[in-house]
Amino acid sequence: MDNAEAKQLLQVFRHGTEDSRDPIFREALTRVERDSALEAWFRQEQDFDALMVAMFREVPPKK
Amino acid sequence: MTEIDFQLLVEQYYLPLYRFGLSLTHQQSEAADLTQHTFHTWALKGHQLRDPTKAKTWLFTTLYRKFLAEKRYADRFVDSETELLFVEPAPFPSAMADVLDAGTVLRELHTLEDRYRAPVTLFYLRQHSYREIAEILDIPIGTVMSRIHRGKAELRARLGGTDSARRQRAMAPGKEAGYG
Repeated sequence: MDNAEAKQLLQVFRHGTEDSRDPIFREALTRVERDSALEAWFRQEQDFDALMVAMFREVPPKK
Repeated sequence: MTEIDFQLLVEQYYLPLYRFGLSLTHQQSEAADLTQHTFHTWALKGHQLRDPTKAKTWLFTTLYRKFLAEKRYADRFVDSETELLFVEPAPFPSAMADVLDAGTVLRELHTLEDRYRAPVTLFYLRQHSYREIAEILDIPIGTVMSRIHRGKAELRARLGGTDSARRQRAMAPGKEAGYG
């Protein structure tokens, strides 16, 4: 697995869900622990995802 | 399924279903109609579901199929080789969190192709496993992941190109996020 393949998987990883136990993400997550640049990229991805999740939760029901 | 169970389903899933419908249609009234149709169908046919743990997936699948049937978009959901390519997401200014709102996100989400919009929405609703998303959309898990990957990259690029994003960058050019 190279960094591009790891990023492709990490981009669809959802922190705090059952994805943490999904073996498909294991190698990519291990790579994050060993590569500080990849870790910084991953943190930005997770921050963006957290922002989007918060935005979706702000959508009110139809009045 | 008893009436109490039905009420619980409505309380638990009305809003996530409505948000999914809104992301698909971008119209509050259409999203509300899709959601109501989904619960109406449940009231008629929900008792046929043998495994009660499948109720959530059944509801989202029903809403999505109704959307497809109404819009007749099913023939547009065709895989392409480009889905398999890795797309480096556009840089996203961290300060954007201060200027974005749900309305802007929904508006930009609606500009994505249908085949990306539904999986990205289900991804961010955080209600389903990948297996369930694949079941709802009736596509393989690998295709779900590649569409989310591609859809997220496009959504981020579009959000970075909104007026509010451009204003934010003009005010704080040093806050642009860097990627390794």
